[in-house]
Amino acid sequence: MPGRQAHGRPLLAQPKAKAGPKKSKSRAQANALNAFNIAQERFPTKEKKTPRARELDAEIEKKHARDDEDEDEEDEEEGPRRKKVKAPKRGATTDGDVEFGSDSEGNEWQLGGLADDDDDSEIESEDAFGDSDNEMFQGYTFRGSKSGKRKDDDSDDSDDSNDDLGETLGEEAIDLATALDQFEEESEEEPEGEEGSEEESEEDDDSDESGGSDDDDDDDVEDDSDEEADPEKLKELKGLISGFGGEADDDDESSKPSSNQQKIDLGDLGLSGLNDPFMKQSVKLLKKESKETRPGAAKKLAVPLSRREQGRLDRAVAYEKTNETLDRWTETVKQNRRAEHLIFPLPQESDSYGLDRSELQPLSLKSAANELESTIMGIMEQSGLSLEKEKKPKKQEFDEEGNLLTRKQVLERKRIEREINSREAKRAKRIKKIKSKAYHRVHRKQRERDEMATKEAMAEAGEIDSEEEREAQDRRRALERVGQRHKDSKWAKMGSKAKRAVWDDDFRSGLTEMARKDEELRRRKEGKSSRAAGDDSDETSSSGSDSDDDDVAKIRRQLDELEQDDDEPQSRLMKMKFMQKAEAARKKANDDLIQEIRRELDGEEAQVSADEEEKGGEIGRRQYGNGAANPFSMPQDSSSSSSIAREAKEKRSKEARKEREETTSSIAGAWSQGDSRRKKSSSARADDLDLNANILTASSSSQPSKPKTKSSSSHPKTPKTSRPQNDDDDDDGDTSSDDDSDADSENRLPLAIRDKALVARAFAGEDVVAEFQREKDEIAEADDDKIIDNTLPGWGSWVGEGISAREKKRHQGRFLTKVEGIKKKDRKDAKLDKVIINEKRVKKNDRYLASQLPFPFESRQQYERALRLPVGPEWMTKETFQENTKPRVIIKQGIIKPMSKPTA
Amino acid sequence: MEGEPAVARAPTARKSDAIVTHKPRTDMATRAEREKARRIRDAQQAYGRGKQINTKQIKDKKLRRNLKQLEAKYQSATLRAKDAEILLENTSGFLEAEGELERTYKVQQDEIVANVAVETAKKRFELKLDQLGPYLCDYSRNGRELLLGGRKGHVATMDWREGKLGCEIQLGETVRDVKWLHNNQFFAVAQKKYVYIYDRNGVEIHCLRKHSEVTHMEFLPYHFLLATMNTGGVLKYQDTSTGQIVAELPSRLGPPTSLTHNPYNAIIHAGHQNGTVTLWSPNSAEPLVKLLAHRGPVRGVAVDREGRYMVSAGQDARMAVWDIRMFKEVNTYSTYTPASSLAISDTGLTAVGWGTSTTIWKGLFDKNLAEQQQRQSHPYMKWGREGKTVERVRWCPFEDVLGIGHDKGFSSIIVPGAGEANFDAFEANPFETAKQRQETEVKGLLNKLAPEMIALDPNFVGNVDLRSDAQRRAERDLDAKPVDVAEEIRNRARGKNGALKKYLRKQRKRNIIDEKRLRVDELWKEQQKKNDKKRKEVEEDLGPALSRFAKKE
Repeated sequence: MPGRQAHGRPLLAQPKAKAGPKKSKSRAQANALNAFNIAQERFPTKEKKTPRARELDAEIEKKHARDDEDEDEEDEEEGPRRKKVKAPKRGATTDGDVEFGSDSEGNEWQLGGLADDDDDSEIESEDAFGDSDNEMFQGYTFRGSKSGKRKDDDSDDSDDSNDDLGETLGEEAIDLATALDQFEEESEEEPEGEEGSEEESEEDDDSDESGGSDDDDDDDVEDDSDEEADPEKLKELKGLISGFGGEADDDDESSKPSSNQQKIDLGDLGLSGLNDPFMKQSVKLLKKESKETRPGAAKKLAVPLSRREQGRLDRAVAYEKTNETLDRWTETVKQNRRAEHLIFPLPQESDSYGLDRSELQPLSLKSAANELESTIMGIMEQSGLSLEKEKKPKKQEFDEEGNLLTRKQVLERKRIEREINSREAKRAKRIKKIKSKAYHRVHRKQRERDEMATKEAMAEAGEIDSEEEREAQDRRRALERVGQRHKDSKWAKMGSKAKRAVWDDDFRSGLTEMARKDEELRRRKEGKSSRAAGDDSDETSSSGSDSDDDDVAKIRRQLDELEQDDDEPQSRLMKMKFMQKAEAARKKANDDLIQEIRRELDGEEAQVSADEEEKGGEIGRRQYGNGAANPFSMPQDSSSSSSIAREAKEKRSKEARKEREETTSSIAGAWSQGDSRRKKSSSARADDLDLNANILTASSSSQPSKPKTKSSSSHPKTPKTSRPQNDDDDDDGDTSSDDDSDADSENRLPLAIRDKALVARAFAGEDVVAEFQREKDEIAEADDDKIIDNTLPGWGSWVGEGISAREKKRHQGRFLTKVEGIKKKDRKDAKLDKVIINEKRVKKNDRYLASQLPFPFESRQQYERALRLPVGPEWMTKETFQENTKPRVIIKQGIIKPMSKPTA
Repeated sequence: MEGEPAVARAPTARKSDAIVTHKPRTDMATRAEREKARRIRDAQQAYGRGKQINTKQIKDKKLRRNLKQLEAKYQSATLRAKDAEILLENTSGFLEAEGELERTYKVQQDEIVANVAVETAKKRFELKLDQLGPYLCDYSRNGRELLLGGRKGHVATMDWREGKLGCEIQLGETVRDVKWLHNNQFFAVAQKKYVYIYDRNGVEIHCLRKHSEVTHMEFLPYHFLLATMNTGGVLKYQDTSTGQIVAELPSRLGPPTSLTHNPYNAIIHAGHQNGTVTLWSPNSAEPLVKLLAHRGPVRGVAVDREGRYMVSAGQDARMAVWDIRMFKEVNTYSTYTPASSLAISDTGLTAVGWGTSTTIWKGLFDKNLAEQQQRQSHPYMKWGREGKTVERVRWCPFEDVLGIGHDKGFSSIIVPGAGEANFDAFEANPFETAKQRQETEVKGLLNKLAPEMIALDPNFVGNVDLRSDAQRRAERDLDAKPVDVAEEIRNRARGKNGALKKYLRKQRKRNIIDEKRLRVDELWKEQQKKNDKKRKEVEEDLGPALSRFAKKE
């Protein structure tokens, strides 16, 4: 409403004295005079508002709140425009109003209207207020008459943000009690307030809504409900509604089921004249309720929220709902954002999405998907090309007579067979056990005897070692044996079970190693009698029974038992022919075994008895003596001193050997060893020594050999002493480094080259090794930490002639700084004696180094890893290359369906 | 007494023996899963590019996702590379002895020629050139062409498979070394005084006067660097694409006795009189590594294709195998007489020329073994004893052929299993056409590596500089002249009319505000102002009607 705007501006600036309630009344009346205005407000033309106008609304509101008189003028101005539209309705209403002459001007018609209404006639002013305050609140939130404003302030002042709160409260505010008192007075003004409110709501709606037509409808509806109190108006309204096409009516009932309407409906429906007592009662109750005038009293329905509040809530809910619907897309969006490649049309939109096309399922009659497939399958079936396998015929069992056996019978037969088998097998096992035991026991004696004889013979010949030595050797062998893998070890068993030898190189090498060791041990053992075995059997016998006689008797007893075992009560099954046959065969074998054992026992007994005849009761003593002598004889042995000496000698020689081995093993090349030793000596000396190198001294064994201590601080003699030995080592190293296989090729070499010492001599003149070592030391020294003396001569001291050396010295080293270098032990070549690795940084390479870790990475590893992925086609397969260079979004030709809406 | 330590040792020994290392399978992986894991492991071993990183520990979600994707890419790449092995259809086979008593080195060339296909048999040939002294030889990178250089000035190139002579020239000067450059179009000859570059027709293209009295030459194909070492022991690098001398490094070890380069990291290995082998890069004035390989002069050095092992032969009749990642000597062998030349083939066969014969060793080193323990007792093959003193041995790439230059000419012998069976046409194509050769050349030049990228570990490029801040500060050259921005701008802006403008525009595009940028802005504004003023003057001259035609700048 630009016109309004134009006028409002200057007036706004004028200070307005705020009128009290009285004044407002008169003003309201004055307002009412402007019939056009009112009419226009009641039935507003739907006028499009420009955004500019909407903006200006706020100011208008302000203006309305304070300058009511301006409003008149404005309305008057507006009037002519709207007059044309609303004129007929206006006339109808004004007629009713004329009856009340007392009230002046525009208010009259409304008051009259209210009085006319039969329902409302009973309603007191307060009640009337209460009824209509739905509408009033809306109006009051923004502006209107003073009362409306006040109400607004009371109920929800927080709402009207447009109002200047301070001002209104300061001049217009009244407390709740006065407000209630004033009700009667204000009831007159109320309609006017309504008007104002309506007008306001109009404007407000326009400003609030985004040009939607629904809200406009709502406004109309409110207008309607407002006037339903008046039957005449009701008619008018109905006419109006019919003009709207009945839409509004529906909207009305559905959207605004307010208490106000309910009440009116009852009256309108003519329920007041009902005869039904129940109905009457309920109607009465309703009436009573409606008569409840106190504002605080409980009403049937709470006061609906103001439009703005409602709007806010609606918006909040709408926002939530929208969020919900939009949130469904988040996952999709996320996924698409993260996807390395997007192909449109999206594969999931295609019809065949989700079908696994990588593999063809076998076709069968059941899985035939279409007619063609099924017919083809049918044809194939008919022609005997069925793809389904026929079931195998079950194997059927027959008994001896050829009768078909049931499954149960078969099982039974199997069980019995197994039982019988196991019994005989068990027996055979027992027999075997007895046999082995008996065998060992029987033969032990003889073995012992033989052993003793040979030992004596050897002792006489002086071939065998002393007892201790032998024992020590045996122990060593045993220990060796303990430490190694043997045939019966778990390792071997597991290996053979898993057939590891077929596929596992380690195992195979282990097996060969085992065999080799075995052979070696056997060989070592050959020189001696099998004493260990004898001992073993000895132990078992001593733990078992005391004498042989007992043994034999026991075995006999056991055999008897076994024989008795044979005639066990037999089951029914055993009467069967085939069973008996098998049984008989097995029994025969077992019996034979038993017989054999018996025979053996008899024979042994005979022999033993013969022995006993020969030697009398010596056996027992000898047996004891053998066991007991061993531990005690050692210290008191007459030859103990000699044996100790020998031992010591042996040890020494072994040590020497070991050392040599050690040195040779550490020497890879022929010269390196000599060099490492020589580095301690001064180079000049080394040269001399090198020339002497060929003087081989066989003193290595005579030298009190020390393990390699490598103490650099050893006295200057050490190089000299070590040198010959080293040469010796060199020779050893040569022979050992060239394996047996290489030995022949070595032998074929020219004589000069074969002799490494000579080669060493040939190049001895320049002594490259020592030179190299010296260079290395120098470099290491140069790179090492350095201490720099920053002392300035003459700074804090006297210099020049005549200063004593002591004085000079005193001032040295006062200001020392340490420059960090690379410590000798930290050098990369610290453990490589023939290598010098340059530790200096190559500055030119720095150009290609990243000065710091680039942003998203958390560690060097991550970054460097990310850098290593090759990009060129030279370093990967074509497939990988193409995948890596594929564009992010690929759009295929054709219709691209939109993404389907995500569910849930 | 002796038994005591043994007793003390016994329990541990027993324990170790008693525990059978049998790990029960506790994971619930199915066969398919296990199969898959095994496949991944195999691929990783063969084609993996370093250790995986643990992505689970990363806290930043985005980074974690990115790195997970990266790891997946790595894995798929390795798996595909492994799968692509199926495309390597050619396999290399070696001579194999049937029984214990048979020796492969007893097999003569005649027998081999009699038993191989006609096409292969053609590869065995002899060139009788007994007039012009011992011959040096070199194969081009794809193995197509052969370059021969007689001591007494005879230089010839040929497509040896077809027996077609490329060019033949008599230089009339001592030839010390010959070398193909990046393809078969150019070759360098170290002559009596200077190094000359000829094209394939034998036309002299360049005389490199800075390389005087060169005895050994090497060419680094990825860097386009010709490395030469002269009698004074100075190692010089010359960029053959730009012609610049990249580095001159005096070794101070006298005339070199051998020279080779490591194809993996482009490090030059030089053998010296005192038995040392030095490793050089053009970026360091001192050798990166110096190792004492022999007692006498180092006669031959060779590095295997993957840069893991070096074999050197010395005057002391020894041949040493070195692991040049750890710089440890793996094995030593003896040669009958001091070796004269060494070469390692693509499959790891090592040819040693000594005296009048050549020995070929197989399995001197094996990258798949953790410990190089076993020594070879017998060589794989032998050739010689024909009175021809071997001067140089070289393997022909992608062929089972060894070229031997000797004092009576050149011999090409067949060594089964020597060549890489499957060539990579991206790298070197033995069957390339002229067009392909040209394209390869252009691509090679575009992908040329800077000499500064040469280091012992070629993967250092892009790594994080691990120096501490203190170290960096200490190493900063405090005496360095401060950069004069104005001077620099003036220098840069020299030249054509638009140079300054262009330079200023480029500088202003940089998003770093520093002193230089401020200066540039100032200059820029000044220039703008000047231009405006000029324009206004012109406009005034032209008058109101014609001012619109004033030239805008």
